[in-house]
Amino acid sequence: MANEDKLTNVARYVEGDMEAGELQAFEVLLREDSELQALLTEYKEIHQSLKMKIAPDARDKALENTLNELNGKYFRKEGKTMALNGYLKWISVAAVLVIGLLVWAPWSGGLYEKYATGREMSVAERGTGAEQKIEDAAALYNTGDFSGAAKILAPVYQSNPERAMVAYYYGISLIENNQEQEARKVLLKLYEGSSVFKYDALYNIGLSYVKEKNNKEALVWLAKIPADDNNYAQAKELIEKLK
Amino acid sequence: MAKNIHTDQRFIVGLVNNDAVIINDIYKRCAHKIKSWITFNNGSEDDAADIFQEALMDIYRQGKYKSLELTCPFEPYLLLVCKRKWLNQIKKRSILPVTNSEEDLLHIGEDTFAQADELEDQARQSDLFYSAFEKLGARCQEIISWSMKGEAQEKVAEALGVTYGYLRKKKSECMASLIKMVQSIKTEE
Repeated sequence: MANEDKLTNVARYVEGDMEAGELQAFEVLLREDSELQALLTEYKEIHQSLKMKIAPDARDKALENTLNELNGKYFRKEGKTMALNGYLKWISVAAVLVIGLLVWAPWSGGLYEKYATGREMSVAERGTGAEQKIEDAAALYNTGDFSGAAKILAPVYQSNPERAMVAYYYGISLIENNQEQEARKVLLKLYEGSSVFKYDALYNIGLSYVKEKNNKEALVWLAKIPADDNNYAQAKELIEKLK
Repeated sequence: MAKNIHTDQRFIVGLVNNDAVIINDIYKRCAHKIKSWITFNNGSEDDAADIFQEALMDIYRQGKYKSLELTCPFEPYLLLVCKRKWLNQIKKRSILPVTNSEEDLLHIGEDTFAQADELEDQARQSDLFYSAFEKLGARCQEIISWSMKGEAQEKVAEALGVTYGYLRKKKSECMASLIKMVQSIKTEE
């Protein structure tokens, strides 16, 4: 059999295009012909490699989502900075200091403010449509406008509650807007899932009770954080202070 | 002699199973190292994020489809894969690296190099197969894409406006042309 015929037959064999009799004869030939065996291996290799590239399956996409979320967490997207001139620059510096003091509020001594996490919303994915909305929300979130961020994130969350990154920042925005109960619904769902924000959500459920001065409930939730999680050390410290 | 699989194989398994805790652990251990190495070598943080994700996807594919068995520790392996990817990128973009790559890689075991080589070969092969696919006629590309996406053949035939029998025959022919194209590219190289 010429190489070309062999190739066509291997393709027809793999693609299930052979009739029963032909198939049987081909399998007999395959057992004896090492060149045919090599062709079959090459065929499968090319088929599989190409399939990964042009037709990723649901699991491939799921992993990509996980990596996108983690990229947002561990790599900060570089934002564009605006150049400011002269006294405007100093006014901005002063304003940032004042806002900083208000957020930090050392005089209030609030444990919630002190132990709050996730104060920077990073968006790793770039795109248009819903992605653009998320970027807009991130811009507001990062300046401390949680009410503005929540307004944008609410419909994005409703249309796809499975999207962990959106759920997480939406949850925190709600806590900041004194909608703790609503926030806990969102965060609890996240905690019950298996995304990378699972324990971040748990930590923030605990914090939402701290904010409401419900130390008893806060302790229950914070104690659930496993020892190998990022939030553990901070949660442990907070637990000591709440006791 | 049987391969000695390293205990860090758990990271490969974690990637294949999309295990959020294990993957988070990978980021916790390695992301900042790659970030500082790439930004030190004239890349941006976005570049670092892209390279890191690409490397993990390559390793995942190798684990899922080629049963990758790790015989070296995972961390230096991933770092080496990322560094090589970035060095290739900057060569394409004509940026000069800051790090002397030889010196930088002195403390990495032979096994790690071998496994990174293997991964690189696979990625190169995959690019080659794709370039062969792109050289096929539009009709063949369409038929192969549809069938790889796992759509029912009857549906594909209807969408392409051909009969089921024609589609089956054409699909085998297209795949045979693809393999022939790969073989001829390989001979040219």
